[in-house]
Amino acid sequence: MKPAICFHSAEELARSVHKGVHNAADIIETFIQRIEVTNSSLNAYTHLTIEWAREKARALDQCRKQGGEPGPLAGVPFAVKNLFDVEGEITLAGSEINLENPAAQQDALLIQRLERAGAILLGSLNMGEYAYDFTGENAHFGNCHNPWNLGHMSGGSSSGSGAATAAGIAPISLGSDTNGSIRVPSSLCGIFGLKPTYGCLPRSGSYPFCDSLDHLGPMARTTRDLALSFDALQGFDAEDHACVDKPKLHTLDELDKGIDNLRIARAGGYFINRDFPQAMAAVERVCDLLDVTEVLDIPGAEAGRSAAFLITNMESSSLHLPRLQNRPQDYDPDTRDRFLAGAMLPAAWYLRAQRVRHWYHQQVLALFEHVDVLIAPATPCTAPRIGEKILSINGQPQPLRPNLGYFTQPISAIGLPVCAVPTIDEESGMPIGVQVIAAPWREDLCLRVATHLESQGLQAPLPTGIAID
Amino acid sequence: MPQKPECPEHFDAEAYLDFMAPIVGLSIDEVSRPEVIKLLQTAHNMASIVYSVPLDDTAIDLAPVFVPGRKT
Repeated sequence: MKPAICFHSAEELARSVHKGVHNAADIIETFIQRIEVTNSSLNAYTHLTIEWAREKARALDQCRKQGGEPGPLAGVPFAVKNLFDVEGEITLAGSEINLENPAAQQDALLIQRLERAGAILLGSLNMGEYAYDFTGENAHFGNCHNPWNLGHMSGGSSSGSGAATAAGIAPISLGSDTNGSIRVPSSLCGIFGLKPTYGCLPRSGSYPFCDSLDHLGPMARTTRDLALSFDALQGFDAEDHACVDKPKLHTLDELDKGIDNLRIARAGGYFINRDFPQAMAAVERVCDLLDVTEVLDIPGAEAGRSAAFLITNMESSSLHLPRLQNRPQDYDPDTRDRFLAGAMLPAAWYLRAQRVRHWYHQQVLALFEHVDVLIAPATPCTAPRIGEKILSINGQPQPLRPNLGYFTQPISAIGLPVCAVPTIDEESGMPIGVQVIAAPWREDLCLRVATHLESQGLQAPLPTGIAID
Repeated sequence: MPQKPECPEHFDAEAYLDFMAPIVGLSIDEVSRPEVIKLLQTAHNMASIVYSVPLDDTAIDLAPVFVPGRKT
């Protein structure tokens, strides 16, 4: 089987298994070979479940030959950020400290759901320590490299998910997103990523970061693959106290409905910043393709972002306080210092931040009475070089690490569904994404608009920093 | 007349660190200290923005919801 099959969509791979054109076992072997060639330069996978994958593939092929229904994702390889529990493995969450934890007793619920749909787990993926990261840098397990240019950041914290899916070694990956950790690597690696509504996909069996803001979601090279996986992932689970019991969406059936009856506007105010010309150009290109001329201010976006910053800093530091007290030296220095600061902030700031988050949510809900979809940048710039520390905002040098989430943080602050859509920056030739944002529980609208953009040429491009064949 | 609470403009991050670290049981070494001070200052800037929002003075609407009887 030719390695180029690794860039086929998940839907195409599953169709080929259904039709008997390919065996799942052959698909899995092809991906394993490509991982062996590619991963040493990317550092995307931290653990491979090769024997498990081979066994599952053989069983799936046997099932199909006997007339069984192998599922909508039959034989599709996938991988997960290493904060998802994988049975028999330690859930690292990007941390050396977690190496002392016992192995997980069972797979995370979302892994189980993808496997029920016929997908086959290939392994776990690199991430920023404890998900407090937008860069893809990790002091313990090594930096994750961008498949467009290995000297540049993959973005984080779902760094391995972005790099692996862009590089053709995981057609579908799962990530988490608290303030942008699905959308930032999607943007910097040139793929599609869906951060669903807060409370939509259960977080059962995943390592937490910030309970008020943690989301899980899929990343893929096509919108149809995002929809296929999202449809398989949905469903209530009482184990996650934030999970909301709502009817499932059938987004795959909605994708081709077009955009004619949708009210789409560009996010203004906070989201227009001439310090970020690459991001502005990406949004303008998308707005041109959608014939969008209206610009709507998002009231309270800066306050919402600030609230999310404080909530994240304080909740995550509370989670880690015992280890910060006893073994701070075992943290990645870049995350440790953020946790240390967060552990000392006054409770009044946290409570005010939660009130402001509630207030900002009400402001934005009112906005969605007049608009269906908002377009905003995903990252301020294309992938910075690994090791870069400073980003200029409004003419002032600011730390890069927290500010790669400048545009994503105000959106996840109130749990809105977002699809990151890839574009290419003409000058640098590097990818940069755009956020397609809808009202809560309207992932179908995000995916419809993303599908339209894909049909207009905004497809996940093949990365230039690694061998394709 | 309801009054909007203020986040005082002056924030001495160094003094705050020295006061708070022992209260929460943290020991901040000399390697981390400069960066933690900067991060405390950043958090104060964020708090100033959060406090600039004109909230309803008579309501305490927190974003998370507590559901009595729910097991998780």
